[in-house]
Amino acid sequence: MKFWDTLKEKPLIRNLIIFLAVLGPGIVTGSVDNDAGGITTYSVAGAVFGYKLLWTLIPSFIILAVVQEMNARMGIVTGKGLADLIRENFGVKITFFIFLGLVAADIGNTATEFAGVAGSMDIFGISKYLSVPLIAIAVWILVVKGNYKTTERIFLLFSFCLLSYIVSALLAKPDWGQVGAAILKPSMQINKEYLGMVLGIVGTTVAPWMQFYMQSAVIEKRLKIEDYKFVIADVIIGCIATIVVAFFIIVACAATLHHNGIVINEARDAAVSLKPFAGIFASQLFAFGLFVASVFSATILPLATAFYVCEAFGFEAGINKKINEAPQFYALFTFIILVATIIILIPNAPLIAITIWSQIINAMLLPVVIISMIIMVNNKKIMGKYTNNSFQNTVGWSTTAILIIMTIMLIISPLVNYLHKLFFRN
Amino acid sequence: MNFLPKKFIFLYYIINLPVIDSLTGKKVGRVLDLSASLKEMYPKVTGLIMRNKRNQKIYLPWSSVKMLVEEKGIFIENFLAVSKEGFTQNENDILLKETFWDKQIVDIHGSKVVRVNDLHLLREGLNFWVVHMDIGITGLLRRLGVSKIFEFFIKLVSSYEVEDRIISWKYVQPINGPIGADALSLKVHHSKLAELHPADIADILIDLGTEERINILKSMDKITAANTIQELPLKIRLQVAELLDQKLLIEIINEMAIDEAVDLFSQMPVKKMNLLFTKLPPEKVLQISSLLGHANDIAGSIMSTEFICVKQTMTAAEALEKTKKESSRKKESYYIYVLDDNDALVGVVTLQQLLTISAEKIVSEFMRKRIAKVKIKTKIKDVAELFYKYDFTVVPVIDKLSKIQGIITMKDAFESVFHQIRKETEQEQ
Repeated sequence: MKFWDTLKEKPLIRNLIIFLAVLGPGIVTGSVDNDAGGITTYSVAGAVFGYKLLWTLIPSFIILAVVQEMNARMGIVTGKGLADLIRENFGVKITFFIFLGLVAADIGNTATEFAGVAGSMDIFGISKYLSVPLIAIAVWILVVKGNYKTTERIFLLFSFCLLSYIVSALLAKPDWGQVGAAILKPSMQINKEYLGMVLGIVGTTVAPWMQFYMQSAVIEKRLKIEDYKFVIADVIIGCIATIVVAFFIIVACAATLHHNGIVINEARDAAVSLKPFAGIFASQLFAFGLFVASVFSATILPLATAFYVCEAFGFEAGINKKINEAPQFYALFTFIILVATIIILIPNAPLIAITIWSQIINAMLLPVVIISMIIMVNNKKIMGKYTNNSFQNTVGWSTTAILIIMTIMLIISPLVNYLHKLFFRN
Repeated sequence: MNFLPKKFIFLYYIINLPVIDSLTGKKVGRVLDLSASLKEMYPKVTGLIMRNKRNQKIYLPWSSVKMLVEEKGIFIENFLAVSKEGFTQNENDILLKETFWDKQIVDIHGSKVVRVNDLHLLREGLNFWVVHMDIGITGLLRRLGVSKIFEFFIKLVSSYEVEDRIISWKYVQPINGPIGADALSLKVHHSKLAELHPADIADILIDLGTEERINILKSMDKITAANTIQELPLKIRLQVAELLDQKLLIEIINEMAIDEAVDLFSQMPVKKMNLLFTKLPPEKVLQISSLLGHANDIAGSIMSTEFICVKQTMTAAEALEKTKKESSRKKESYYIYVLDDNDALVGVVTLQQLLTISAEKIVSEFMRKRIAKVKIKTKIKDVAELFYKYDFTVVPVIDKLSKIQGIITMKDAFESVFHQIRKETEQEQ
């Protein structure tokens, strides 16, 4: 005891202890980010373009870090969730619009996660009619019957499993010379497919619900402003982890599938196609990573969505409350999981349409959420002396501008495609 | 009787109403917000803020309102003259929309934080009072402008009447949102909160944002603030200590029971602790720092030094006199400890005994000599077991020379083993 106490007095050890206590929000958020949808995007990018798109991970990293830093700062200074702040500062109508979209998009996203569960378990020979209901029930029990501490620990453990992609990539024996060249000398191509993929990669990294999740995770930790530097470290580690995982997925698919000219549509296809080139172990590791990521996000997404909706509209919410204390919260959580499960289990469900639509709703929400965030983070009445400085504002607004341009392009490009085909086919 | 206007009206139906000049019958602007005075039992509407066609904000006193017709507008008598007058809002008035819409309030009756969707006003002629806060789903739908459609559908499928969830102003404690926080905290007293037990106030504070938490603590009297802070979870307690301004923090710590202050200091950065020590009264610092030295799982670490003791040679009257004098400053005054000439603990008397026994009796004659006591080094767990086994609420703590050093209350003992037990079970998981 005495030894421990003297040890605690050493600045380095003390800092390390504080850091470990603060650790979590950024890393968990970063890991949820690499969900089934993200893995699909990265796999396809690697398979179609090889190493060429690796450079996009650098701007993705910057955007992710800038946005999450603002969330962390707002969380620490105000002690309030993003939903709370938006409701108080922008009124009931904007809040309602955001949350209507958020619920719709998140049901779609959760369905995509369950599709990830179905696909990865399929590789291990388990039918989706068995795996999806079982996982849905397991997720429900974990949240409703478990407690917050254990849940968070399980999540942190989950995020380490995502490192299995590194092994998958190494087994694929990539050409590291080419990898380095692709990052240092970014190649630009001006064509539809290439631009679409760039948008896809950046777009999959920043999703609107993440901002809400990140901020409430920070509040849950009850941090003080003096812990800020540790929170930033947490955010940056989380962002690096996200980007590293994405990097290895692209590398794994580029080294094998692109090299041998194999085209894929889904993350599941990537796992299957890896087998002849990198061995069954690499293929199963890839499937395992997909499974973990899907379950992880299938838990957090409905939970987070239910939480903000209740927060914004004044219902009791929280994983540490009982069902009769927070009926709306648990009802919404259950509803999202149930609908998502049913969508997956219907034979011939229009999965691709659901994915595209939830992406489009996400893309429309993102600018609204980010602009409200920047307005609030610059409001002295809310942030006191912790408003953005001019550097943060420059980075913040240009990030916003880039995101808005990208999302607009993402929304209109299918439309342009369609019109193009309509007028120029004959 | 039918021309009498409805008795109640929601704020939603007043905000954005056209403002009409009753002379010309023309629309001159729209209602932005209402001001109300907090002097009466229910806040009475005193004026309105409107936005005219040139996008300027104008304040009009309520006395200039001639008529309010729902869905039509507010008719102003002689608008031209009144608007030129340049009236300003009374400093002590609050703005209803800005203060309450979408903001959190404390529902004193249910002792929890809720979000306001709309305000319910009582109307009598041209006088309006805020009587209820609407916190239910109907208020939300009204604000979204879809309540009529929604009610229609509900009635279509069932005979179910959607009930308003409203709370009376009597049980409403506004908490100033971040907007104009300082100005508002002077106007709105947090006196209604004081009706609650500090433990309940603490539960409410946990649910609030950082700034609201600090504002409420600032507005409370120091003793309630001290009692409330004691009940907060450690992490929030440290956060609060960080954010309260130093002068106030010192005043509050000064009102805290010594053992709770020690608890707070033991988790604080050393730098901050030393800084606060320079500002606190020296005897308080001495008590706190001597307790800080104890390892945190023994009796000495949680004992309080606030107890009353008398000499065994005193009479009952003298003992009672001393108790009276000291009890206001002490945490525990039911048990009075009896010391011999060497200040060793030899017995205990109760306040009840002192009050009922004849005045000239000597304390040593009626004191109870066999008393349960613990040593400074006794483990807290053992102290808690002692409480569990025997029927008493306070136990004295003695040193090697049998001198009394402090007391431990049952609450403090159970509170600290509770943390230990929880920590142990969490580690086992």
